[in-house]
Amino acid sequence: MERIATVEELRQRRESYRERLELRERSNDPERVVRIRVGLDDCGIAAGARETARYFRREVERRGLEALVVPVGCMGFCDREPTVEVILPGREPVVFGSVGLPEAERILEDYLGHGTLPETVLCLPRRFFFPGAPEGPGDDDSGREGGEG
Amino acid sequence: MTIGWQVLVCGGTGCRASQSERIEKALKEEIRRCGLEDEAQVIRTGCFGFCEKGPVVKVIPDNTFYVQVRPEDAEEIVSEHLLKGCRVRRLLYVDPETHLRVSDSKHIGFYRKQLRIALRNCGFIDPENIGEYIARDGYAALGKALTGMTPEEVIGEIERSGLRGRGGGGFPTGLKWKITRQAPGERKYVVCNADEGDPGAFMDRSILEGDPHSVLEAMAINGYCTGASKGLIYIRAEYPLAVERLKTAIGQAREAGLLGDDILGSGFSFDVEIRYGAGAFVCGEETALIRSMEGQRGEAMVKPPFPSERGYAGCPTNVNNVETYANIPVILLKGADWFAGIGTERSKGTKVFALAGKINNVGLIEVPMGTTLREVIFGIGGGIKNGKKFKAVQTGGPSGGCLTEKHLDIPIDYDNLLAAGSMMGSGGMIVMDEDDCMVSMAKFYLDFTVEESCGKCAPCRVGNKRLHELLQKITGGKGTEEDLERLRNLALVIRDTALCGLGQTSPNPVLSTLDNFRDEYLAHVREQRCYAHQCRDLTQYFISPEICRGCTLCARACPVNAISGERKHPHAIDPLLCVRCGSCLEKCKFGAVRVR
Repeated sequence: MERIATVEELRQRRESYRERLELRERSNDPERVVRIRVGLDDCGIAAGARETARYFRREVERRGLEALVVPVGCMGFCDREPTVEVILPGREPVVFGSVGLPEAERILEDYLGHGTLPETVLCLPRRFFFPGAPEGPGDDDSGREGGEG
Repeated sequence: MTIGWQVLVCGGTGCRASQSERIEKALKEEIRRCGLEDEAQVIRTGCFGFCEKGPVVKVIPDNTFYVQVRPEDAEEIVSEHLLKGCRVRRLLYVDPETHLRVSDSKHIGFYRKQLRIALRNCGFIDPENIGEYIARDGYAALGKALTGMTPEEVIGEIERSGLRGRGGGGFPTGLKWKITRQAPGERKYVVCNADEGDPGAFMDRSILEGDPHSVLEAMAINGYCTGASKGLIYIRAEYPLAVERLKTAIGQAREAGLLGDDILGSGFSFDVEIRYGAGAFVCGEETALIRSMEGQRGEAMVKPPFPSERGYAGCPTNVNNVETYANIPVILLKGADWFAGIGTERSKGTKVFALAGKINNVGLIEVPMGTTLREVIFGIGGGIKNGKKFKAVQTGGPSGGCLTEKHLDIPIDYDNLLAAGSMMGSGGMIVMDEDDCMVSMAKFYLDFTVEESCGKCAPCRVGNKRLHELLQKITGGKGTEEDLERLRNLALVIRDTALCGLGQTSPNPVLSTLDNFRDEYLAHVREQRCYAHQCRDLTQYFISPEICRGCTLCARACPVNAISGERKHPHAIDPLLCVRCGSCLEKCKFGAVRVR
């Protein structure tokens, strides 16, 4: 490591290492940030969910968004894969269907950027998709409980 | 490609003992095999604290906490979790009450009530990467002190925070710093006491393994305050991993200019060296520690003069414990008021405890001062193993005392524990259940102090030996009631006349068990009985003829052929031959072997 000569340099160095830790900090306190949950089971992967997840990760970093991209298991909506759920802090979760890269961009621009639902992407509140599922579809990330031991 | 997964693998001594290094290797290999190198990172961290369920692996970003992972599980973690986002359910923690699987450690009872200040980075950062420490505001407190505060201001802040020494005595840290600062002398030294000797205690080791830079930073801050330019860490050579991580950390800090000459352009110079101890308990006492560092025998000296006035090489020396130092950077960054807002009136902040013994969740915890013993043992610790009854908890190691059922609801702080006849000590907590004999327990601790006494003063060298003999006599079934009086009198004399902390506190286990478990001592001396069946000379094994089926299992298990009997007829134990090993009791399927 290069020598840190002043307090200002120390601050800069902290910023440059921050990214490595950011993932851990956010994951420790997920309710504070935007959660982008990408369904990544077999049917999702076949429909291109891996690319969608990568795109979200890259863009979150590039745009410096306070967001966490969380791959989850099958969301059960195999007809509209890749399926992505977005949870803005304090808002009702919204599920987006058939999210390729163009749709992903709209979600970032419209929903994360301005809080409005994009017109060109299929989207519905979670409760319409999955009535009676309090913890959400896929493998829930609330961490509270995950079924019988 | 952007990293989307971080897999944290515990690299503490406990988890390494159960193959965490192999898990780390297997995970890396599997990630490479699946072509995920660009997306997933494996990071080795310090101790997570939940040693009972180790090895621990944590997956980020969904904060999944896997417990008791084996190297063979790496394949499934990568192919199911990292590739498909599906958690490996069988590796999740099962809540013992609800029987539900819990994926996030935040919702596990063990972590829910903890507040981590000294352990803030343990199990979170890679201790061998100074960058991760800097990213968590590491060395920012040093920067703040060097460029924006006078030494007096820093000391004032520490004083106002109410921080007290975490090594055992509980001396106000700010005051100690002030005395060292005011002591006249050209050369001064900063010493970190990492000679953790209490049986069952591993707080300091875990901090040094998981967050070594926090200690280096605090020592540098102390050097700035007291006017010292040299720091010495006294650590026992039997902590090889902690030593290794410290060496790495010191090397990185020197390279980054955070140790060495002209730190952060302030003109202040400070460097740290490691000194090894051979693992003598008395060297945890500061004067003995200093002598040992000087290359002399580890023997305690008369105080005063205190090390703050005349310590290492005759110079003023500030000696603080590892955990005390680990608190310093946070106090400077978040402020004395924040720290003083945590804890009780006279004990501020948090305390790290190492839970051990007959407790469900063995591990390392940190709770605010003022938390009750009940919360620690039954809430965080998960209660007693195998549904047994709680009997006592020994706090403060061999220098402390045992606390019982009636003490469970006192808030833990320095003064309350002293008033209850024990002490805070460095934070070891050994829990005992109904099967433990308290007389044997006191004897065990005396075994330890007799062994560890440096021999300089007679009360400790001779007195403890005599105490041990009395206990031997009692557990051997030859004790009398007068021996109990003798025991107490001798214990009080040792306490009042021994030279250093070791001797003065060594009778504590005897005194506190005499106070709290007098009935048990009386049973030993009056009835010659040990109801916990721990004292071999007082127990007798016998076979109940009504229950015995004559299966011969016990006779075959007996190592000394003390059991005789015809097949399908009741067997019998010859008490003269029996060595009371308990093998027959273990083997009998009908519960016919009894102990008295």
